[in-house]
Amino acid sequence: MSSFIRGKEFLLTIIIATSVFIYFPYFIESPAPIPQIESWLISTTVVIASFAVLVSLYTMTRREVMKITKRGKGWPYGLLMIGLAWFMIVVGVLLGKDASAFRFCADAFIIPGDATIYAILVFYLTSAGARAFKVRNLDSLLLLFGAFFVLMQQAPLGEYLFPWMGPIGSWMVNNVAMAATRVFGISATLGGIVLAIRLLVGKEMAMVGLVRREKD
Amino acid sequence: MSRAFKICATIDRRVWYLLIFVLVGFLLLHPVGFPLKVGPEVKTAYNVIEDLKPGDIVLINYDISAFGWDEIKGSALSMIPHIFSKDGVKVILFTDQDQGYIFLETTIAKIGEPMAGYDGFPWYEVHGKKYLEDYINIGFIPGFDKAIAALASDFRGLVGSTDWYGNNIISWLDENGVDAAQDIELILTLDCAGAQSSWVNYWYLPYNTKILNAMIGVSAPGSIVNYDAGMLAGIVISVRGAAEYQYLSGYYGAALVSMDAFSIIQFLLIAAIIIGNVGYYGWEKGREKR
Repeated sequence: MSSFIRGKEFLLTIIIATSVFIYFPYFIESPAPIPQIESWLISTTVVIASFAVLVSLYTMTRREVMKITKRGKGWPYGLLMIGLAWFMIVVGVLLGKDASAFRFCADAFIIPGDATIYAILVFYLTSAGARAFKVRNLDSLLLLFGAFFVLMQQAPLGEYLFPWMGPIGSWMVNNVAMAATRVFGISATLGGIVLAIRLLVGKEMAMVGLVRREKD
Repeated sequence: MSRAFKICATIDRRVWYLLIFVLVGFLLLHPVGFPLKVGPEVKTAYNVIEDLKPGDIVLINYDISAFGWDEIKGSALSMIPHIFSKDGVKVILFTDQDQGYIFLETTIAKIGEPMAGYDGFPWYEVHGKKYLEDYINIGFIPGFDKAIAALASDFRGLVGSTDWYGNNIISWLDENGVDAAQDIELILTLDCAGAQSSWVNYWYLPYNTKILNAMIGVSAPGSIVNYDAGMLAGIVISVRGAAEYQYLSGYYGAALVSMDAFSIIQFLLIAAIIIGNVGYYGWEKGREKR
């Protein structure tokens, strides 16, 4: 029995059944029980996602503990990370999410820390602008022109001082950047469909942990 | 002359850091008030909220984490009070991010005040709208896109019987006729992680639900694609869009103030690129040849 549950056929059956219940009601008007099963399956993924948080906590702790015991590169940061993570969990579980200690940790460490990391990008970006955006060939010249017009369009003062640049920047955003974004979106979607089909026909079993990919 | 080129090519990065720090700090403390043009997509978003009618249900999603809060809060602090100011409109607050409820409460505390006889969450009154009478907070539901899909397919089943604080919300949902996704008139999603695409997939495409989207700059390209395709009713892009919305709605705030610094930094970035290239062609390239 256990070998059957761990087998490829069993997992494939679950995948196919789940896919049928999710895909069919989306495209085809289906009788009453099928949309209900669809709703139940989708709601179930929310529960699974909640458990995934526990799995990530376990793997993070395991990885960092191994790094610390082996004194691997950056082990003090690992110590700090698991210490803070588990402190937040213990405080949150014991005192609740609205406890002042829990909110203090969030307000004093997580929010300013996260915001600071994001905010220092502007320093790097400007300094990189001087050092990296150099016109070495036609490609980089085109990139520079694109950046110039979009920056001028984005800056309220630029749009005011040079109103003729605004439409050029808008055209670049709405056409050039849009085309690239759509290409990316369509490619990713097609890739997703291909992956789903390969999964359904049993050719992508590494995704469900049955086959290990060969190392390159 | 070559000395000038050499200086351009070898400016220490700390000089740029200092310039940014000084300029941003000065302009935030002493805003000049450069002119600001309101874009059509922000006007459209404003009109969608302006056209809300009594009895309409609005679902507000906080797809917000700490890293993006400073960029998105201008939109949150102007669009949400605008929604709350509409007579008879009912609001459901929701977050698809684990940190989202912190910013949700921060927003409510900033735009509202504690209800008479109460001094903590969730008992806040915003523009006369009281908690559990005019609005509820269903809080965080894990799963991100899965949660958004599950809300669409089985709203009542996923929300359950209690709000984020454990209060019974069944009667509120019944009284306001919120039974399924079709009963939601408008969704406002404030995005740091690009949740709009999931709202489009699971709410707009099957139910044609109107979606407004405010987002941080890095999420803008995906949102613009869906806005141009007509799948988003309006978009408010980053701090610039938030400033435009604040100007339109009259809920002035930090986004509008920061526009001067925003403009100057954009110009500084352009100046940095030009100076870098002058230095490269005047000195660095010559040195490579030598």
